[in-house]
Amino acid sequence: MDQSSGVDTTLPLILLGVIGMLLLALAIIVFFIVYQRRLFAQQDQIRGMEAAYQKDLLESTIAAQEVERKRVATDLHDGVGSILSAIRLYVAQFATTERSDDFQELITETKDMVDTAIEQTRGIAHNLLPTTLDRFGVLRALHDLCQRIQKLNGLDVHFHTDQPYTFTKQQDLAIYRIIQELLNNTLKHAQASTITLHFEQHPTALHIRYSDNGQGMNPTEIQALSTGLGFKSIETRVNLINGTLEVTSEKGQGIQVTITLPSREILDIT
Amino acid sequence: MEQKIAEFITDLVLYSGILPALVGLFNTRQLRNNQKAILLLVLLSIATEVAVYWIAYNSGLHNIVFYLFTIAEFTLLAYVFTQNWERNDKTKVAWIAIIFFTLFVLLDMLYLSGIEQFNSYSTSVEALLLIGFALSFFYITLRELKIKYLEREPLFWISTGVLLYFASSLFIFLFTNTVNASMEALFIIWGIHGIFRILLNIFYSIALWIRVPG
Repeated sequence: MDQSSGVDTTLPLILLGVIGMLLLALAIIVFFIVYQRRLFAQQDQIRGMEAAYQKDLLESTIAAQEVERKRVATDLHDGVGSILSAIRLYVAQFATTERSDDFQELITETKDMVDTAIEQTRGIAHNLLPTTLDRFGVLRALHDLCQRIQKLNGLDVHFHTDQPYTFTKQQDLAIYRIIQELLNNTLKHAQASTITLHFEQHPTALHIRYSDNGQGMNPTEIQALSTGLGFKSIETRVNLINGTLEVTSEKGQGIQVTITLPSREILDIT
Repeated sequence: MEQKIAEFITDLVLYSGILPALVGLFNTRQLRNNQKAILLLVLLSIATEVAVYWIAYNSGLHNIVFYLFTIAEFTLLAYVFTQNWERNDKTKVAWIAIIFFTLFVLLDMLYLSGIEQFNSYSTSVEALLLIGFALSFFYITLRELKIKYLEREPLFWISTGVLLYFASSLFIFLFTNTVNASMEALFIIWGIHGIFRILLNIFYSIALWIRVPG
């Protein structure tokens, strides 16, 4: 074969290969730079959203604390405070009232008011932190709470747990507050006649299912609920115990709430 | 004409190696280990060019210098890239690659290309392996997202330079012995190679210029 013709065919091929490889390398470098920038932009965006979410949760927590303080202050002022003022007036009458039937009646009324004050103080304390929760755990405390609601509000409250779960103190309190908030919502807004609360163990997680047969909500109302203070407080507590929250509802179909807690987070499952 | 241009570019390659060497020597105290390896590579590159000129001037077998430089270049760049890996056995992997490559260069020198020809096979294999190493840097960077400002990372400039140079030169390395018959073609392709080598030296200069805090 003629040497020069061999070169003629090889050289363009080499040059083509060089240009092709150069373009490929350039494309890889440009792709790398653009993709790296995009990933960082996405990361910054996610961080910004997380920070905004955390700020939102913090504000909700502070607002919820303020609401709770206001409620306790109202309970103390309007309940125990007014009874104690009345008791003071009655005690002041002791010095001027003769020891007769009226005096005996005064003492009886005073004792009744002291009993009422004690009862109200217990009620306030129970609302703040039930002693059952601290002593016997969340399952017993929820059982008592459901019974109390059934008795006081005339609703059918079905509470069922498939196992005697043991939680940490932090989980006990968080689960109790979450269910308490859900019960409050049902009592205030749902016009329900039945509430069910189930604790069920699944292969990898515990499902706490709460539902009522109230008027339910349309998607707009669910959206409004999710931005409300009570719901934010539920969300914060669910996050605190590393759980997840799912809320479903339809108009006229009541509400269904599922809190999923990974099994590894639970202290004891028999 | 082609010969004059090629000779001019070849001279320029030698002088372009002085730039990263001066930058590296000026910054020696601030250099990280991978930058020091690049400085050593640049100095070896200059020494190789001088040795080749000297041996060629004295009508000796200057190709052996290229064989030795290929081993040194691969060893230093393999060290630079593998040190970036998170793997516990990175040193072991680097050593295996270096030993394998050194054996292959010996094979190329003795049986494949031979001592009298350009080390076509070993430079081609070196190019493929180093392209892989450079891509590993890009992959790790995207996966870990630890480097936010690429322009402040010496390894980014080294990887970019290595990828551009070895990808572009791969076909030249592969087929250079085929076109040896025509001096004209040889001048053209080695002129092009020289341009990419100058580009690589510029990227090395930037990598050696960057002062990494801590």
